[in-house]
Amino acid sequence: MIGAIMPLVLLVALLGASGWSVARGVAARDEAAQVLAETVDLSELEADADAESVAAERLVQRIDKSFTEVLASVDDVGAAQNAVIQAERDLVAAADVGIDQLNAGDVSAGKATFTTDVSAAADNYDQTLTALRRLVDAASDVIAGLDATLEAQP
Amino acid sequence: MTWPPMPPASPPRRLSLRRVLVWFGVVAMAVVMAGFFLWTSAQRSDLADARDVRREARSSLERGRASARSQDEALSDRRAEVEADGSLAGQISELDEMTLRLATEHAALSRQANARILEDDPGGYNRLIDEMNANIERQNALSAQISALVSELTGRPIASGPEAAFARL
Repeated sequence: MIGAIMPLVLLVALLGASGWSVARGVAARDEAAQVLAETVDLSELEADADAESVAAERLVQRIDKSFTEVLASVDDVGAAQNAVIQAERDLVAAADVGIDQLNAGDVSAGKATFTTDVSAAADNYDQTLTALRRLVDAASDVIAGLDATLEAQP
Repeated sequence: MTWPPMPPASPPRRLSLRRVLVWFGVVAMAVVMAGFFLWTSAQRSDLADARDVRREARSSLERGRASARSQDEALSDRRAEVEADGSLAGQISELDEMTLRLATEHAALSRQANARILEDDPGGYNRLIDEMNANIERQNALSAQISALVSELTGRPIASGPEAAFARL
């Protein structure tokens, strides 16, 4: 009697153990799939964070580059202004010579000085002004570019 | 008869097919169960690996977010600095425009004054010279403002404006 029941008991026990094992395996498989899906989401979030970081870094570089251009343009305008100031001084000096000659009664020499030296100094002054105007316009454009870069979002 | 007497021999037991099939089923079920155990073990191993990968991904995400926050802060700081300096540059540019207008007027006045000399009109020359000297004064004032702003922006002042004035006739 026992010999007949024993294999049936074993069979039932094995079936139960198998069922329990399969249930655990299926649960582990489902959880692993869920964990992998979460990992994919985390990876996408990380990619987004990396992209934001890179974009912010690039914008800082663009701002630095644009600001360097502004500083260079300010230097250029300053140099051009110095040239204008020097040309103005030359013009004053040339006019002083002519005025001294006129005040001394040497009218022909004074007029000749105004015709040649003062006129040449005025021409030079005009040229330096033209250069300054070009650089001031360029600086204005560069500053506008900096403002646009500062407004940009990463 | 032999002595001592032998017990009566039991008849040989026959292996029934039903019993063989039952034990075969037990063995087969044991093999199947072992297979299920192995499969479950593999699934749990995969789950542990997936959890490790997720943990690394979380750590990596935290590092990425920290880096993004750091870059955002660096961007905000740099933007604030450059906005302040850019404002200075804008003011300098406006003053440059005003200086340019004055200098252009000055050039025109200079041409007119030159003509007055050649036309023997000292009164007209002196009036123009007064205007030019006033113009130079305004340019000097602007130049001082520009120099101060450039010095603040770059640390290098530009040359001061012309102090010389035109002599009257």
